[in-house]
Amino acid sequence: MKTFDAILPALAGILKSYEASIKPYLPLIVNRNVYGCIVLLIDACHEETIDLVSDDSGMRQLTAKICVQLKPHVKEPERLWMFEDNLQLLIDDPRTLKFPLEDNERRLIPEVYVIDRLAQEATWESFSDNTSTGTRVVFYSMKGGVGRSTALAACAWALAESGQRVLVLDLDLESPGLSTSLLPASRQPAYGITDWLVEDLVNNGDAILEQMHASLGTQQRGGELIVVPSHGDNPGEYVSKLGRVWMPGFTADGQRQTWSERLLRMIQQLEEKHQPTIVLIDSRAGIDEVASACVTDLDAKLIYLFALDSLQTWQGYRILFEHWRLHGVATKIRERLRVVGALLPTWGDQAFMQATAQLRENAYLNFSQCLYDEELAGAVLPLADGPFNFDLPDVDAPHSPLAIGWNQGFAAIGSLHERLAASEANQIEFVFGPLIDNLLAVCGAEP
Amino acid sequence: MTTQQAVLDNDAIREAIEACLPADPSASLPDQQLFLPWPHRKALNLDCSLVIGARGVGKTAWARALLANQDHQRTVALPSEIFPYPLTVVAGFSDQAQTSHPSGGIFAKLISAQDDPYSLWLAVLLRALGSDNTSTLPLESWVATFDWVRGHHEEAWAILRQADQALLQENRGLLLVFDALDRVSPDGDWLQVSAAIRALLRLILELKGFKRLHGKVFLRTDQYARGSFTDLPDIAKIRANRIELLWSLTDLHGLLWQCLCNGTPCDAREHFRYWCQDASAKSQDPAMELFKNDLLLLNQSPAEDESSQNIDANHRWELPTAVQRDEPSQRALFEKLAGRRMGRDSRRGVPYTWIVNHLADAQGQTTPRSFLTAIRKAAEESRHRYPDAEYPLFYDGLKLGVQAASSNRINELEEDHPWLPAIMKPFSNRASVPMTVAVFDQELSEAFGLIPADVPGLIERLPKELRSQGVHGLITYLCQLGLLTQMKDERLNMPDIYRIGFKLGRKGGIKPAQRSTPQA
Repeated sequence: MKTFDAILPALAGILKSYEASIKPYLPLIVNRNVYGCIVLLIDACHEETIDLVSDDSGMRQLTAKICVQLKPHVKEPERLWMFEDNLQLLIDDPRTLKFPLEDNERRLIPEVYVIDRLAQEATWESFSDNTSTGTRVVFYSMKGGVGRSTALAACAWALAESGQRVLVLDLDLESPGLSTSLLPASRQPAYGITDWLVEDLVNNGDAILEQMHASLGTQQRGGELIVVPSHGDNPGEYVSKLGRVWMPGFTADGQRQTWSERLLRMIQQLEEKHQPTIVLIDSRAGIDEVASACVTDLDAKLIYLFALDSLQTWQGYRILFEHWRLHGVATKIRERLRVVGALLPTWGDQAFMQATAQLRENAYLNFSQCLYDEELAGAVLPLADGPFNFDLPDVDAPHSPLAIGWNQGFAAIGSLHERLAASEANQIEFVFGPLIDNLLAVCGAEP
Repeated sequence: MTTQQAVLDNDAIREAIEACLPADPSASLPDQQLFLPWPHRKALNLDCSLVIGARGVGKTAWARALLANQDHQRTVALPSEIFPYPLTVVAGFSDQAQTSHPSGGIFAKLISAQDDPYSLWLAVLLRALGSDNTSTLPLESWVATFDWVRGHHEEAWAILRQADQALLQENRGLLLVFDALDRVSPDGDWLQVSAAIRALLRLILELKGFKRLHGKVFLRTDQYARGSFTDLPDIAKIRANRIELLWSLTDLHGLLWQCLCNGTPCDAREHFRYWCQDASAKSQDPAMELFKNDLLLLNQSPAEDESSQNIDANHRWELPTAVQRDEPSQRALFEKLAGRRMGRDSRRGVPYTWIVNHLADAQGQTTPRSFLTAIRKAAEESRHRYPDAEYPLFYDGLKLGVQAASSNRINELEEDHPWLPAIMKPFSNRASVPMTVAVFDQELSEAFGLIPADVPGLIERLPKELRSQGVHGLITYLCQLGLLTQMKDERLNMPDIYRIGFKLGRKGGIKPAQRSTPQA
């Protein structure tokens, strides 16, 4: 009896041992359905010629072996193979989410791809490109309670003070709160992101677009802080609304859109309206559907991965990184990632440095093994588009942690707007400086 | 200098950079291009008798600057009033032909005849006292002086005491500077070098008993570590005041602008000077103002007054303080040369830090020699290969610069450690880092047998305490040399400056085949 994780490696092993038999029928698609069962797709042109009956047929033996070994994740032998017209077209279609099959030792099985059908739409691998005119930055954490929203609020504040037009989106829909910490109660707008997503289902989003933000001008150099909360000043029937935001919708011309496509459309409309120089997005924590949309679907230029240096944190990130590697999308996402070391001990320089060094090494381990390119021994020094690979101490590498020390003054998120207003600018700079400098560099402003 | 500068084309800047920086990486910089980082000042003080540093950090440069600094004629690179009284500076050893000390060849010959390096150093010291004090000393040849000293230690000490008294009365002093000590054995006999250094340190320790007789020894970090000098009695007296010449990010960029602003006269150089003044004027860091005041108070600054156009008698143009020390000012300046990106987007790093970081050894140290080599090569490559690039130093040119500095660095290292090429050969073109100790051990054992005993020429060059520790002793030594670091999970890592030159790979989860796989 095989369990889920053993299906693909076992199949890879069998296909390799019957390499000669399967070769004439390639390419092949392994379709893994929502129940975790597989069927194998080959091109319909082979339907007449394939021999699944004769005793000496390699394909028959192969079929039998798969059905025995992959039980109960396969159907009976007669239903293992399916014939698809123009299989190559399906493979070449960029909308087909597929990944190459590999064996236990990460060796590729040529011309064999896996299509994975999930029960929900969060695949952590559907990327949208070039949808943004400004700079979108996602704040993500594997675990909650690491100071992610506080850091976002402080950075938003500091960026606005330095003259940026900052749009803040609270997408932590299931535990909202960022906007209440950034805005005084009197300034909360009537609606929020949840309202828009529900109204959009009946093509009524425009009705609230004007009333879902609050704007705080700063004294400094024309900067502005525009906050879009997850709900309005009166949350209303929030649970009922939340239960509907994930629905796919249909555009006016009848085109189906997933909820993350709808979300992207909302962000584009907000960007068009407010013309921000930078958009900061507070994502939900964990391997969650909203988080998936934030991290991969919103065409963010930069994704901060907040990390406490704990086993649980790295196990979680490892799952994501390994998913990206296996599904062949690591090359798309890795350049956007940056580790943020959260709540680092500040009692003594030594403790801070040690904790940062340990975090750096753990981050390096995971990035290196899943997301960085192998740089072969003796290869010519890569120039512009050489392997994406960094040494452990490289300060510009995605794994290199931007360090945020633990700070009593920013520990409670409750009344951050008062706190920020009262804070000396250099106190914010003291705690969140590395992050703010990095953001300024990303939006191309003078640090 | 007007505020309106004509636009300078990139090639003119590239040519100026090439002309300003030494083509031969080991050549010493002319006086006006020497740059003394703030922490290095202590190395020049009289109470510092031991200055250590890797190859190419400026030991010889400072030894020579001290030697040129006779009595009232101050070397322009040295801070004024660095010494409390007029000083005669004599070369106790150097790689130059000097009458004040035997050449390496003669030194080796004398020692092979009579294994007594201590007496030979004492002879050098006595000769340095001058004829007023040493009428009994035979001077016709080094062998004559050496032979006399070997038989007359007691008289020698009497002469030293007398000379010290005389110097005190005249309110003067004597400083002997010892550099390039590996040359005491022209055929690189390491044991002989180590014995000579040991004898010298003993003499330097004894000089601490005098008031006006001073010695300063410049020593390579690995010579110091390998010599196992810790058992010398009273060595703590020297160790406590020893200075290690390290170069920070801002020190290195300060040096670069010192060189560029004091190079061959040309339009570009005027631009460089103007840029530096401009950067200084824009510098907003209030700490820099405080720092300037500190400098004035201490009266040790080479940049005492920026408004006086920074030109002194020897035509040394002094860098504004901000360009010496202030990171944001330096960043803005370097952007004029290399922009902000190490690739088509910003995700591969910023040139200002990238180049220094990629030249760093395992201890995070970058030598000025590597840095200037890389910048010069980058200018040259940019001029030849990327003439139309947006900035004078194109990012691919900088990468080629690092490559050149890397192979240069490895050549130097192999000169100092002849066993190194053999050790690295089993890994070259095959292995990747990070690597487990087990793999490292296995590769070496297969190639040589017992580590370190079976590696030709290795065991006698290891510091004593590491000789009996097998492969771990070798690993510790390679870490000390800055070639390897041991990660917290104990795997071995190698910084890029050596990894690229030794042709090792770097591990990564995405295999080359997967990179070219068409993606969904």
